[in-house]
Amino acid sequence: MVSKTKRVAVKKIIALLIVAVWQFSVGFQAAQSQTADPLDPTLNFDPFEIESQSENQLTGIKESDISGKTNEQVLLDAEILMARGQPLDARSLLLKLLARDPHEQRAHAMLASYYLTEVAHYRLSLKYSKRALELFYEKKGKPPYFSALDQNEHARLLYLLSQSRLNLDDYQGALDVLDELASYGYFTSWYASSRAWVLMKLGRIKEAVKVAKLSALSDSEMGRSLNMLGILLSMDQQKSESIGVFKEAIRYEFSLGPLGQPATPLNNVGEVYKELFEDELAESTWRRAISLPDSCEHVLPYLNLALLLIDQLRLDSAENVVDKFKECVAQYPLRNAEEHRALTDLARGRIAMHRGQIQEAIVFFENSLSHRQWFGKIGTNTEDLEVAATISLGQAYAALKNILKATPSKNFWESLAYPFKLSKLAIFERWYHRRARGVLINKLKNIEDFYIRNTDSLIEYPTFGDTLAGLSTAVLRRRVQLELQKDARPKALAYYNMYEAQNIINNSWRQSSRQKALELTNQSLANFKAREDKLAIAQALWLKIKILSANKNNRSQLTEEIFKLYSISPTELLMRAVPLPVRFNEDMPSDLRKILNSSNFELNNKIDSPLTITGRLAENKEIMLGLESKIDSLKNFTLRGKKAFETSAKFRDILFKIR
Amino acid sequence: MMIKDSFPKLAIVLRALFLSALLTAINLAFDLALNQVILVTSAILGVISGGILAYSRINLIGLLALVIALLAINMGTSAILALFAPDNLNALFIPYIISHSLSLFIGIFAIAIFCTALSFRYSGFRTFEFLLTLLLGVSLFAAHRGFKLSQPKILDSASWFLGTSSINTILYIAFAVFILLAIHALCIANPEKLPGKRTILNRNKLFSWRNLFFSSLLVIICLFQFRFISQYYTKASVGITSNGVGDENREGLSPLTFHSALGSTNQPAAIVRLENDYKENPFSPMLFIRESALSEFNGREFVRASNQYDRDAPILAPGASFNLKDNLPLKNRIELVQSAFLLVDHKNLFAVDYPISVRSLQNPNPSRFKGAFRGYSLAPAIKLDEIAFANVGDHRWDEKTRRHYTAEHSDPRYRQMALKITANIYNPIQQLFKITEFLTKNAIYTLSPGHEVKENEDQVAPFLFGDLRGYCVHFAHAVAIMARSLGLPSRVASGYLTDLSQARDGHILLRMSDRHAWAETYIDGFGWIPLDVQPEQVESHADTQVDQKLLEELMGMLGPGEEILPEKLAEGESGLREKSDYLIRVSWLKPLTYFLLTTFFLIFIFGKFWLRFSYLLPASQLTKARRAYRAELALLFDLGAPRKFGETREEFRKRALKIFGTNLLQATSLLNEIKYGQRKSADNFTEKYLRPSLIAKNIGWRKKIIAFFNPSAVTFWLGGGRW
Repeated sequence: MVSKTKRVAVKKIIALLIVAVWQFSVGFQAAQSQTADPLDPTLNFDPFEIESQSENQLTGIKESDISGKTNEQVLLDAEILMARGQPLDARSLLLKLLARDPHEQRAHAMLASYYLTEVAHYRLSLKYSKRALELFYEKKGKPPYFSALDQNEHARLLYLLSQSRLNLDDYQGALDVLDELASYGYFTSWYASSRAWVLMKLGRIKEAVKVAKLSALSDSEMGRSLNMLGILLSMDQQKSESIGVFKEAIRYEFSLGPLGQPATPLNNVGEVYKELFEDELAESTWRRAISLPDSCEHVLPYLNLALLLIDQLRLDSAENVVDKFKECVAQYPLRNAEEHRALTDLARGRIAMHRGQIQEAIVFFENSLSHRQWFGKIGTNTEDLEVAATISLGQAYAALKNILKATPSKNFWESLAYPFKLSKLAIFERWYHRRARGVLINKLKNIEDFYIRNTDSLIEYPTFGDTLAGLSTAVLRRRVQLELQKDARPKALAYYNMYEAQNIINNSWRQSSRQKALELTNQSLANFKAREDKLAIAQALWLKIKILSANKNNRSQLTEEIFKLYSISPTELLMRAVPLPVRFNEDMPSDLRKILNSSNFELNNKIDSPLTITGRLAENKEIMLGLESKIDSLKNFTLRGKKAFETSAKFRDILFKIR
Repeated sequence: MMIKDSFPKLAIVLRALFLSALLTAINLAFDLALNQVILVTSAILGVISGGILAYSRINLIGLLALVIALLAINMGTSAILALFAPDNLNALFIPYIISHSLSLFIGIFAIAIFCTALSFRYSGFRTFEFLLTLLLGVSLFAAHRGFKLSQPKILDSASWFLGTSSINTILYIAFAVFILLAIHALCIANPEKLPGKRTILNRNKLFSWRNLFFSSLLVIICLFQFRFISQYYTKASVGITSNGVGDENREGLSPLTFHSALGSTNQPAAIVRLENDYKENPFSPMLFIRESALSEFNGREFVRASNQYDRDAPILAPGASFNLKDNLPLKNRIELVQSAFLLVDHKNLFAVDYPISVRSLQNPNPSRFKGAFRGYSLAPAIKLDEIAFANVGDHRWDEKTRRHYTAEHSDPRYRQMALKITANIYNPIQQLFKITEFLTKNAIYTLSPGHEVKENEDQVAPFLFGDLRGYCVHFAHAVAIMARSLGLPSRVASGYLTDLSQARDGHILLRMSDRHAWAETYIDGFGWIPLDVQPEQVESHADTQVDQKLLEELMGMLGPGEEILPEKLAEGESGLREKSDYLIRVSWLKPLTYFLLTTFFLIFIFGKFWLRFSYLLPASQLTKARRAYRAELALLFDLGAPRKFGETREEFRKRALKIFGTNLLQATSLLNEIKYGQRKSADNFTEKYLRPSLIAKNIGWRKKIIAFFNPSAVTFWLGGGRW
C-alpha cells in the first residue's frame, strides 16, 4: 500500500502537470490592462495604503496582490494553491481576478471546477460553467472549431456543464449537453460512461446498457465504464453478469494503485449481493469498501452497510458505521457532512427508533425530510428518500402511540389528556403511511420499489407491510402477482407473503382470512434466516402474535411466540404494544399490579412464563420491584423507588431495553 | 319568500374565500401535499350548499343526518372500489386514488356544509367559529413559547422569503388574522333574531356602527401591536436575549445578562467569508469571533473598561474603520482575512482575534444585507502544548494594568473554590485549564437557570455555589473570577462561537443562537487566549443545524457581482428551480398588493358614484326615478339606517323622516304605484320629487362625508344585495 503522504505527493505532481499543460495549451498572452470595477467590493479600498507602509509595519497583513500580475500568472498561482491544498486562497485569488477582468473565461472555468469537485456546490458550478461557456463563445465564436486546443477547451466546458446539471438532477439537460458534444464529433474518454449514467437516470436502461458496453469496449475510462455497465446489467436483472463486470472493475481499480477508486465498484457489487440476499458477502464487500481511502467520497457504502445492519438489528454496529462516515468527511475542509445529512439522518433515525428512542428518531426523520439532497451521482432519487423517511415517521408515531399506551397516567388530568394524545399520534401514524402510499403510487410508478431490496430504494423492507396494509387486499394481491412474474427469488416471496398477511389482518375480521394470514406468516418465518433477517422475523412474529391473540385457546403458543420476539428485540415488543406475560407474587399491592398491567405487562399466574415480578412495599414506604428470570440473558434485579409510577416506568424501560 | 330574498351572497363569498385560504395555508404550512383543486372546490361547494341549507326548512337533526349520509356514501364507495383490482399495472391503483380523492372531497364538503349552516343559523356557533379562528392564531404563538421564534420551520423560511425576522413574520400573520376577524365582525357576525326560534344572518344588518367600531378598534390594536411589539421584540431577539449575549458595548456597561438566555433563535445574523485558509486553528472545528471584551470588574460582574484597556476589541460600529496601532510581538499567529456581511443590525463590528485592521466593504446586496466589512486579523496558530509553561500576563504591563486585569471579587468563597479545584497544581496555565475542565464536567447548560437574584447582588454566586445550572455568561464569569482570585489576569469576551464543520467553502452562517460569551486569559507572547466551557450535561439548547439551503443562497449573493454572473444565467435551468413553498413569489408581492388595492379602490369609487349619481345620467324618467330612489336608499344604508327586516317601504320612509328630519324617500309612493299598476309612467319626476329630496339639507356635512367613505352600501350592492 502506498502511504497517504505519497498519494498526496502524486496528486500534487499531477495537478502541477495539469497546470503546465493548461498554460501550454492556452498560451501565454500579454497582460491586458484592465480598468478596476468601481462596484467591486474587494477593490474599493486598500486598508494599508497609509499606515502599513509608513506608520506601522505590524498591521501590514496584505491580501494576495494581483495588481502587478498578468491573468496567466494569477491563474497559475491559483492552480498551485489548489495543488498545495489551499483552496480558499486559490478561490479568493480567482475572485479577485474576476473582479479585475470579468471576462476572464478561464477563471470562470476554474471556479466551476472548484465548486463542482471541492465544494459540491452545484448551483454555483453550473452558473460559472455557463458563464465560462458564454465567454468562450464570445471569444472564439460559435462552434465548430478547427484548433485542437479550442476543441479540448470547449469539450471541457461542456463536461463541466453536463456534470453540474447531472448533479442538480437535471438529467435531460445533462443529456442535451452530451448530445451537443457528440454533434461536434469530439472524442472524450468520459463521454460514453457519462451518457450511460444519464440515460440510466432517465430510465432508458436498454439504451444505457448498449452505450455502457460500447464504452467498455472502447477501453476509455475503463473503471468508470465497467462500473456503469455493472449497474445497468444489475438493473436489467442480469445479476451474475453484473457481478462479473464489477469484479473486473474492482481488479482494474486496484491495478491503478493509489489513483484507483475501488470503493465504488465494491459498493455496487455489495448492492447486487444484497439484492440476491447474500448478506454476508454484501457486508464483507461494504466493510472492505469503507476501509479504503476513496470511500469518503461516497456515502453509499456506509449507508448501505448501516441499513443492512439495521435489518439485522445490529444497531451499535450500524451507528459506528454512520459515525465513521462523519469522521471521514471531516477530513475535507470545504465540504461538510451536510451534503449527505438527509441520508445519514434516515439511518440514525432508524437506529434510534429500533432502540426505542422514538422522540430522537422523529427529529432525525423530520430532518431527513427537510434537508435537500441532490441525487445526480446516486441511483436513488428524491422520492425514494421521501417515501422511506415518511414511512419511518409513520412507524415512529405508531411506536410512540404504543409506548404512551403502556405508560400509566400520573394523575387524573393526565389521564384526561391521554385519549387526545393517543388520537393525535394515531392520526399522524395513519397520515404518514397514507402520504407514503400516495408518493409510491403517483411518483414512483405504481410502487416500483415493491421489488424487495431494490438497489435504489431506501425502504425498510422488513416493515414495509405497515404501509402496504392500507391498500385493499385485492389490489395488494394483484400487485404481488404482477411482481412475481419477474421476481423468482424464494426469499422475496417470504416478504411478499408477510405483506399479504399483514394486509389481511388489517382489512379482514373473518376467521378464514386470519387462518390464511397465519399460514402465510408461517411460510415467511420458515424462509427467514435467524441471524440475517432479525427485523423481518420480529415483524412476522408480531403478526403471528396478533393473529394468535384473537384466539384464547392458543395461550401457551402465544406466550412462546411472545418470548421468541422478546429474545430478538425486547424493544420491538413495547413498540408494537405486545404485553409481556409475567408471573407475579400474589401479595403484590393492587395499585402496583394495576400500574404494571398498564405498563405493557400481562400479570398472570396461570401461564408458564420464565419471568416473575415481585412487587412489595418496603418498611420506609418505598416501592420494591424485583425480577426473577429463568432466561439466561436476563439477570435478576431489584429496583427501589419512592413513587409507584416512576419505579414501574423505570422497571419497564430496563426490561424492554429502552435506552 | 323573505328568506330567499335575503340570501347573504357577500357573506357566502367571504366565507368561501376565507375557508379556501385557510385550507390552502394549512396544506402549505404543514406540507400536507393534498390536492389543492379538490380542497378549494369542496370548500366552496360546501359553503354554498351550507348557505342554501341554512335558509331552507331543514333542522339540526336533518343536517346531522345529511352529514352522516355523506360519510356513509364515502365509506360505501370506498368499500366497493376496494374490490376492484385491474390486471394492468398502470390501472391497478386507480380505484385507490379515486377512493382517496373522494374521501378528501366528501370530508371537506361535509365539514363546510355543516359549519356554514350552523354558523348562519346559530349565533353561538358563530362565536365558536370566531374563537376557533382566534385559537389558530394563538396556537401559532404557542409554538414560540420560550421565544423559540424560528419554530416551526415554515416560519423560518417564510421570514427569509419576506426578507424579515421571525418575529415580524409572526406579527404579519397575527395582523392578517386580526384583519380577517375584523372583516368577520364587520360583515358576517351580525345575527338578528328571526320570528320563531332561529337566529339568522340578516341582510339588512350587514353593517352597524357597533360593528364598525369594534372592527376599527381591532385594526388600531393591530397597528399598535405591530409598531411597538415588533420594535420591542426585534430589539430583544437581536440584542440582550440571544443566549444572554447582547451587543451593548459602552464603558461601564455589559452586554451580558444573567437572568435568562431565552430568545436564542436561529435567526441568521451574518455571513462571514474566510478569504484565506485557516488550517492552523487551535480550536478547530470551533472558531471564536470576538465582538467585545469586558475587563472592568464592578464587584458583581465584568463590564466594559475605558479605552486604555482592551484595545484589541475596540468599540466600533460596523461602518467604521480601524487600525491597531499597538505593537504586537505575538508568537505563532497567522494572517487571516475575513469578510462579514450583516443580515441584522449590529452595534459593533466583530472579527477573529486579533483584529488589527477593519475596513468597510461595499454592500453587495442592500436589500438583503445591512452592511459589510472586512477584518484583517492575526489569528492564533498556537499548539496548546506550546503555552503549557508560558507566563500569564504581559511582561510589558505596568502595575496599574496588571491590577486592572487581576482585580478580584470580594467574596472569599471564589478563591476557596478555585484553590479547591486547583489543589496541588502550581502551573498557572494548568490551573486555568483545570478550572475550565471542572465546569465542563460539573456544570449543566440550561437556557433558563431560574436563579432568583436581585439586580445589585452577586450574579455568579448562586450559579457557582448553587446548582451549577447556567449558560455561557455564568460559565465565563465563573472562570474569569476564579482565575483572578488566583492572581491570573483574565477578562470576559463576547461575540460568536461557530462550528466550522458547518461552514461551506469558507462561508460561515452566524445565527443569533451562535452568540456566546467566554473567558480569556493573557499569555505572555501569545496574547489573549479563550478559556471556554462546553458543559457535558446539556439541559436545554436552542441550537440546530445551519440551514444549508440558506447558506448556499447567500453564497450565491457574495460572488464577484451581478455584472459578472448575470442573473439570466439561471434562466431555463430546471436544476436551479426550487420547489416553491409559496403560492406567490416575493417579487410579485408589492405589485400584486398595489394592483389589488388600486382595483378595490377603483371598484369602490366607481360603485359609489354609480349608486349615488347615476340618476343624473340621461335616462327615461322611470329609470331616473328608480336610480334616484336607490341612491337615497344607499345613502341611508351608509348612514346606518337600512330598511329593517319585515319593514314595508312606506314604513321605512316614515322612519327615515323621523330620524333625519327630511323627507328623503318621497319617490316611494310613486314607485309603489308604478309597481302595482296604479300608474304607468314617471312623468315630471325630476321636477316633482328629485330636487327637494336629494338635497337632504338636514343631514350634516360630517355625516355626509362618513357616508361617502363608508363602503357598506357598495359592498352590499356588489355582493348582490338589493334594497
